[in-house]
Amino acid sequence: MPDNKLYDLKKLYEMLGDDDEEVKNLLNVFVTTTPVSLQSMNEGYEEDDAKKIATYAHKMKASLAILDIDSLHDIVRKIDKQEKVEDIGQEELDQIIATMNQVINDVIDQLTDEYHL
Amino acid sequence: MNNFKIFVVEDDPFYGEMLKYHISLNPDYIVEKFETGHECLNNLYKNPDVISLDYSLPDLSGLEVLKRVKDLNSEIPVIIVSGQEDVSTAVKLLKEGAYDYFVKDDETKDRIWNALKNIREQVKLKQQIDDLKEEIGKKYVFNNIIKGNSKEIKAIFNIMQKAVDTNITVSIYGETGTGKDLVAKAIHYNSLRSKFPFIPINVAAIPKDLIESEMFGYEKGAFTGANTRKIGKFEEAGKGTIFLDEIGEMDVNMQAKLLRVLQERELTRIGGHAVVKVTARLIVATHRDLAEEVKAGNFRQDLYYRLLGLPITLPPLNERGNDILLLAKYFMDAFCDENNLARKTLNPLAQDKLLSYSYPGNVRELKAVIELAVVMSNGEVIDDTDISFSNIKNVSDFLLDEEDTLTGYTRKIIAHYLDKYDDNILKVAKKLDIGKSTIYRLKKNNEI
Repeated sequence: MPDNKLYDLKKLYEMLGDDDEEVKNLLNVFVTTTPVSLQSMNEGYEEDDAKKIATYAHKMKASLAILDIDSLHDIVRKIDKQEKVEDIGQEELDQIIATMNQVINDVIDQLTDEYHL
Repeated sequence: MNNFKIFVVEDDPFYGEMLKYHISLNPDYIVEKFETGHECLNNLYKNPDVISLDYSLPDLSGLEVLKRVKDLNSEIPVIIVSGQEDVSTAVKLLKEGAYDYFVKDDETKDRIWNALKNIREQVKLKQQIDDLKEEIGKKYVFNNIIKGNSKEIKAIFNIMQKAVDTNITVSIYGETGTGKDLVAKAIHYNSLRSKFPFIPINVAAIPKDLIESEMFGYEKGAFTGANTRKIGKFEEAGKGTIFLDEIGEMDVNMQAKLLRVLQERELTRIGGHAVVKVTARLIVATHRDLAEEVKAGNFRQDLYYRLLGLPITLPPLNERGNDILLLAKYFMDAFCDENNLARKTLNPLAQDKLLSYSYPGNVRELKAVIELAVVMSNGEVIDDTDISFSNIKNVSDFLLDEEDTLTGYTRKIIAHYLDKYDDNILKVAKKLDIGKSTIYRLKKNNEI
C-alpha cells in the first residue's frame, strides 16, 4: 500500500456495504473508463474547447468525489462549468489540466497496485 | 407487483455501476443501465417504472431527455441526478415534470433509495386504483346496468354504443326513475375516458348562486369566504366525463355562461384570469322536453342545439312490456341475496298485477314495490296480495282509471286539487285558472 495514498475508499466501501468483491469490480470500472474521459478532456484542452473540457471534467466529478481524491476536489469543481473555464485564464488552466492528468494517473497506478487490478 | 423496472441513465460508467449495484440490493428491483440519452429513449418500449437520469449526458441534456420521456409517457417518474448544484436548473426540471432532483453527493444513494420506495408505493396505489376502475367498468357493462330484452332497450344499447365510440355530447331524456344517470355512467365507463374521472353535477340540487363556483371553481379572495382556491367540477373532470343531470333546471344566466364555456372549450375560475382548457366530455340529462322549454323561453335555443349532440330517450317502464317482469326478478334476487333470504318467485296473478300498473316512478318505483313485496310475502312465492303500489297517484292515473265525460273529468280535477290544497278554494281557482265561483257552485250543488 503506497504511503502517499491519493484516495480514500471509506466512502466507496460504505456505499457498497463493505462488499469487497463489488469494490474491486467498481475500481476496475474506474481504472478502465476514467482514462478515456481524461483523454477526451485533454483533447478539449488541445482544441481550446472549453465546453468539452467542462463536459468531461463534470463526467469524472462524481467518481473522483467518491474515491475522495482530495487534491482534485477543488479544481474539478472549478472547471466543471463552461463559463468558469473561460474565467480561469490560460495559465491556470494549463496547471489544472496538468494536475488532473498527474493525479488521476497516479491514482490509477496506486489502485492497480493495491488491488491487483 | 414484484419486479420494479428501473432505468439508470448515467454517462460516468463508475457512478452508473455504483448506482446500479446499490439499487439492485433490493431483489425486486430490476436495473438497466444506459450511458446516453438516446439509448434510454430507444428502450422506453420496455416500460420502466422509474428512470434515474443524469443531467449531463454526452448526446442530449437531461432536460431534453426528460421532455421526450414525458412526451412518450407522462406517467413515468424521472429522478434527476446531477453534479449541478444550480437551483434554477433544478426548478426548471421540476417544472418540466421531474419527480425529484438530487445533487450527486454522499447522500445521493439514500435519497434515491427513499425516492424509489415512495414511487413504488405510489405505483402500487395507482395499480390498485386502476384495478378498481376496471372493476367499476365491468359493473357498468350495458347488460349489467340496464336490464331488459325489449326492442326499446336494445335500441338504446345501440345508441349508447355509438356514444361510447365517439366523443360526441350526449343528451339523455327520460322520466324520473328511468335510469338516466346509469346510462351516463355506462357510457363513461365503457369509453376511452374511463381511466379519468366521472364527475356528476345535479343542477337541480345546487342553489343557483353556487352553481357557477361549483362548476368552474374560484380563486382565493374571489368573494367573501373564498379563503382558498377551489377547482371546479369541469377542471376536476380533466379528460374524463362531466355529467350535468337535470340540465333543464339551470338558471338562464348560468345557461349563457355554460354556453360560452362549451363554445370556447375553456373557462376562467371566478375571480381569476388564468384560462383553463376544458377537455372533459359532456353528458347532460333531463326529465323535461327541452325543445318545449326552448319554445316556452325557459331554455336558450343556442345552448339547446349545443347540447343536443346524440340524444338518447329512455322509454318509461310501462312501455317496456315484459322487461317489467325481467327487472322484477332481478330486483327480487338481488334483495333476497343481500338479505340472506331464499330466492322467491312471482305467481301468475302477481305477474299480471305488475304488468297492469303504470309506474309513474318507473324502474325506481318497481324496485321499491318488489322489495316491499318480498318483505310482505310468506314462503317462496309472491302473490298479488303481497304487491301494493304507492298511494301517490299522478293526475293522469286517476283520470284514466275509467272513461268519463268532460264535465266528469273537470269535477275530478277540481276535487283532486281541493284535496291537494286542503280545500283552499282561492288557491285552487288560481292554480286551475278558473273562477272561484265555479268551485263554490260545484261544492254547493254537491257535485264535487
